[in-house]
Amino acid sequence: MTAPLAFYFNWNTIPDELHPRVIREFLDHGIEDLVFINPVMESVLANPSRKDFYLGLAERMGVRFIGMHSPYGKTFDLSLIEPDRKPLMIQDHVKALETCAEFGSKTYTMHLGTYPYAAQNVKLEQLREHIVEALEKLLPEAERLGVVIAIENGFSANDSAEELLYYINHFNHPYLGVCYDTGHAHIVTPYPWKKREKYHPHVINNWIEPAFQECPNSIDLLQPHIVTCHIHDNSGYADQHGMPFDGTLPWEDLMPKLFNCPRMLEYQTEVSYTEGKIWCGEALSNRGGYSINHHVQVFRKLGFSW
Amino acid sequence: MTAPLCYNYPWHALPDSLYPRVAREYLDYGVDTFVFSDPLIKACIADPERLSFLRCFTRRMGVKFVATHSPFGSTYDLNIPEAERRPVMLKDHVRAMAISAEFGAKTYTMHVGAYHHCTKHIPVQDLRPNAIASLEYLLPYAEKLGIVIAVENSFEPTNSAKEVYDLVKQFDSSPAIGVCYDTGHAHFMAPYPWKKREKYASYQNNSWWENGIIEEANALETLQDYVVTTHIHDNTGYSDLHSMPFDGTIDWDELMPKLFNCPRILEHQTEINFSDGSGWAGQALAPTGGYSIKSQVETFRKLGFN
Repeated sequence: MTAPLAFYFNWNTIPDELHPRVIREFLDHGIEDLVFINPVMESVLANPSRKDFYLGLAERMGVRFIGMHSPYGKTFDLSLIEPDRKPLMIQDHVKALETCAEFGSKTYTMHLGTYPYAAQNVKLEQLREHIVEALEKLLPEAERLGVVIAIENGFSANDSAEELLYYINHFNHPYLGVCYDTGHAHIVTPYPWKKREKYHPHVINNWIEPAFQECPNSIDLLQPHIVTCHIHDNSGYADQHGMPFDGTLPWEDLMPKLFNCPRMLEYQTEVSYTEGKIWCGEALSNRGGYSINHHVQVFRKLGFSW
Repeated sequence: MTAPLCYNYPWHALPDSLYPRVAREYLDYGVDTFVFSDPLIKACIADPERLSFLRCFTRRMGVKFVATHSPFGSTYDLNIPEAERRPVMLKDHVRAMAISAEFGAKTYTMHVGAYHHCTKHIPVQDLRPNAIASLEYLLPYAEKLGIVIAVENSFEPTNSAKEVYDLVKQFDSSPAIGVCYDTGHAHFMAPYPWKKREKYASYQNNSWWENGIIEEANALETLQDYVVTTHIHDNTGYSDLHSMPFDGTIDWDELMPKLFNCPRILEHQTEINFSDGSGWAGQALAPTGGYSIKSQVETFRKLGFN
């Protein structure tokens, strides 16, 4: 396994003056690669001085911010349908891709986006047209900048493994790949122990026509195209972003496959440090949230080394 | 060695929302005991809500804040001469000791005071009676609360090891008097064959304005029988850097057995400055970004604490 592992941290929840202290905590574990999370990317798009802050921080502390996640949601997703917002959305993503290149990130993870399907009744076929149109504009920029756009699997009808494969096959482009999200895939995987009534509403409600469909083999379908991955765990019923081994994901089955993705460029942890009640239920973390120490030890246990 | 080690951390510099996160970082190393620092205790005296916050936080996270450092400086030290300030100062210390006792602290470290001699040039002998009077007032309260007032050795004429020894010895009959042995301060004052007087920080020359710097050997041997708590940190020998042990020039192999054998020791304390770069005491020895919790815990384990 040679692709680096970038560690997630919710930088947007700490004051600027604490960033070096947290980075030192990671550095003392031998970690130099950190995920450039989407709130940070959003802040950079809104205020260019934030980019200077993070560039300066990376240089001073000798770390890299990679594994970039695009801003997402109804104003940023590839499936956006509003004609007034579309050109601005594309412009924002181009700026974000330029930021990726500047920081040395090889991938830029994007959401296809469920909002128009789940909330605006846009049919899947129509959604595909919007997504294709957006990717047609973005892929040349990605290629120019040397950054691979990684479309992420979710747990909705429009970002299933099969939907992702539609776009991969449609474009067959060296700068389009997949971000394999372990937690999202686990939610839609059928297991003998699963009870459908236990799925969190946010899962069921994102399937309208067709109704909720499980997918037993997301990793096998997507493996040839995976360029980055989001690694986290959950109960199988909700998107909890728990630490591996705190949920029900069978890591011993999954990790050999993740370590053998032929196009893999960057791995990413995507563990939420939050404790207590979260948007999709109860977090799996300890009181006080997860520690950096625990985070590092768990990913060593998964088989990563650095 | 049975006295617990209390870890210092700059809690006062954290937003409240991050307290649980930092506590979890320590808890995952098996550390649950912290120094009740002077900014924290000052905040608790001034604002009942801070006290309430700390009570909830310690209960919720299962941690302890013990080994209190009293507020210090020109308005709080034992030897302050201002007649109108002294009653207020003493009342604040009584309140701080009561809070400390509530949290389970066994010791309450106090400074004799440097400001009025070093800056206002009041002779040492004129300030001594103030320190004595302060202790005469405070010791009955300390006895009642079950707390030991630990007078700390420092690096100015008013609080050398000999001055501290002479002061505490006068209160031999009280079980509530003791010494806080500060490793860094003693090292700063100690004569070594390799020391060059011209390398002392300028503030040291300013403090010893009357007769020049008078070095002091064997501070621990002088104070050992009274040592109830310790401040453990390192420096170059020339300034009060509060660095991590092994980053400065203290001979820890020689010192630690003696510290572990202080007959009255109740609580040990780390007293590291986590910051990097330039500070009031000079250039910090910490790496870029400052010290991590990981390095603090591992260093003190290496010193022999478990």
